[in-house]
Amino acid sequence: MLMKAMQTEILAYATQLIQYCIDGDRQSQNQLYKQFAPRMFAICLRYSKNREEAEEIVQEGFFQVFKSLKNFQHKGSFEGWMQKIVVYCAIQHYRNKSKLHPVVNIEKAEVEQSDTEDVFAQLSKKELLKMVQALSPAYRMVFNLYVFEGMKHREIAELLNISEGTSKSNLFDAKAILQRAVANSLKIAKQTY
Amino acid sequence: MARDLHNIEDLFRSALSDNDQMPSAKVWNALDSRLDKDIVADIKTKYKTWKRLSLLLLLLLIVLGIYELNLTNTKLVKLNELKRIKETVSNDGSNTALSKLHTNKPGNFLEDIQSLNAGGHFPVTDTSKNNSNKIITSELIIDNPSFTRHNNYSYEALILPRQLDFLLPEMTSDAMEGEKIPETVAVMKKTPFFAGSVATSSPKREPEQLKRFSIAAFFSPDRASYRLEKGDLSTSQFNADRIKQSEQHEFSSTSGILVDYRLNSRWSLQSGITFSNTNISIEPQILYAEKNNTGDVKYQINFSSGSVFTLPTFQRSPVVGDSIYASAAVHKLRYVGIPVALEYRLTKGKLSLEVMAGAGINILTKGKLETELQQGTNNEIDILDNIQGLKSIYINGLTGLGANYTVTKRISLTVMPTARFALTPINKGSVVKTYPSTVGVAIGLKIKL
Repeated sequence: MLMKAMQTEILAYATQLIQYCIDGDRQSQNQLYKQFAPRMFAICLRYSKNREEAEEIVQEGFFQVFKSLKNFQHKGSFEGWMQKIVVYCAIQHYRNKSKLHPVVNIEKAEVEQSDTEDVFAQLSKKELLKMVQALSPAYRMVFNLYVFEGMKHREIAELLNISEGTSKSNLFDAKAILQRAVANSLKIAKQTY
Repeated sequence: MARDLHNIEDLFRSALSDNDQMPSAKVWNALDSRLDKDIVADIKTKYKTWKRLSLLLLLLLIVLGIYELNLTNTKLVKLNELKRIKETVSNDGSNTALSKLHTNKPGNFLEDIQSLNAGGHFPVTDTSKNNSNKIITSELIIDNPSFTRHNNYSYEALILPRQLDFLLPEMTSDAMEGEKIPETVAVMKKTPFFAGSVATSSPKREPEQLKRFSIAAFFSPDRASYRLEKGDLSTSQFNADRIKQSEQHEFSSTSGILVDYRLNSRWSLQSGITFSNTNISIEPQILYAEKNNTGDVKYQINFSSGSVFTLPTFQRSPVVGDSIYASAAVHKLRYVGIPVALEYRLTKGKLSLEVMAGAGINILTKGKLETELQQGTNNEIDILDNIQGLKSIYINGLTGLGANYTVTKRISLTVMPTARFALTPINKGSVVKTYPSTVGVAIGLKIKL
């Protein structure tokens, strides 16, 4: 009962905050930004090659969010709606900068068998993020859309204007590169300790 | 290998799905300034429509002006001629008639005149006596072309432009097929002549005067708004965005008396006196004590028209930075305006459509701010009329498109949607530069004087 009352209050607050943002109230816009920027920035970091690019994307994403707020229907998750806009901005960013073709040749390396939980313990989030950022834009886009957004290859192909086969191939290659990178990192970690 | 790839997905998904971190402060700063620019762009777009409409109306007025001027010049000679002929014929009584005079080389004004001046025998097509629909052709001997007497009639030779030959309807179609229609028609005015009398032109009757002046009283409920630009004293705390967010326009209106001076049937000049009334409410806010120009520490209120300093009776000695709560405020501006506008009118029956464009000077008659100050259990209503930064005069442009319905010969009703927009700001040396504008439907009564 208490939980439900709290949820209703939070919803009313969020609705009010969104309305103020639509009216152009800068303080409310700043409040909304502060609330969602960390989450959106984390997404942008995955889609970009470095922090600077991620900041460009998150700025563009929030600008588009504020401009499109009046179109938000209050149906479904606001965060999900915002995330879609930010992801779309990330895709646009790379569409403007480069063609989505793979540029990295994969070296077939022997990968050490490892347990996921051990890898967790040994590799920091920062290292894993760097591995994703090191992927070519084409691989990075497909990997993010498939793994994090949960999109199907057909949807990815439509969104990126590539064939379904290319999407599958890019995902396979991206995962292979990441697997090799994880293995290498583990090797170095073992040698260090 | 496949199991490893699957693990890779899980590894990255679980590690990076909650990797939240705040971007650097420069992201918000850049976003903040970008949103500012977007607002300016929005405002520019909004006003662009009005500017385009005004420009369109202005162009329309110019085009109509050129057309009208051209038309007037062309018609002027013809109208003068028509007036003279009409007066000549209408003042001479029922026995007067016009007859076609066949000159030697008809169809050219100069040649007709030369023929008449030379005198001699001229065939005349007389339409005055053709009761049995017969056209009588006779011959007239002219000694003196300006005035000739013959058989108890006096004859006066006149030259009519072909366009005016409706005075002689029977004679308009006598040009041979394929023959060039002459530009002029030589006419003989035939008037009965009695001994002792001399056929001269009757005394000229005064032509009917065009009622040039009209006076109109109007009232217009207005939708007021303003455009705010960064002022000299703009800060991050007090700026155009913040002021715009905290203010709301209330009921505004314009009324006045306008005098029209008709230049001709279509164009008129309009001027007069208008009284405008604008009310803007301000949201509750916390006021801070600041030093004013004289060095006194008082509570400052910044708003779109300027700023005021106030000191409530319950706190006479604040120090810089002290705060007080202003529960609500409203500022009221009254202006007397003197507009000058050019108006173009298209009339059909009792209805006429009017397009108007012009400019006006607005003189501030009253500018005040009413607010309620609260601190603890104390509260006080202050009325402040010393608004700093508010200019006493500003210039505005105005444009309108409306309709006028003639009720009686002298009285007509007029409805004109009108837009007024400031060309100069109403204030200077303040947080914002304010350009007010209104859109309203002026409803009025016009009396021809």
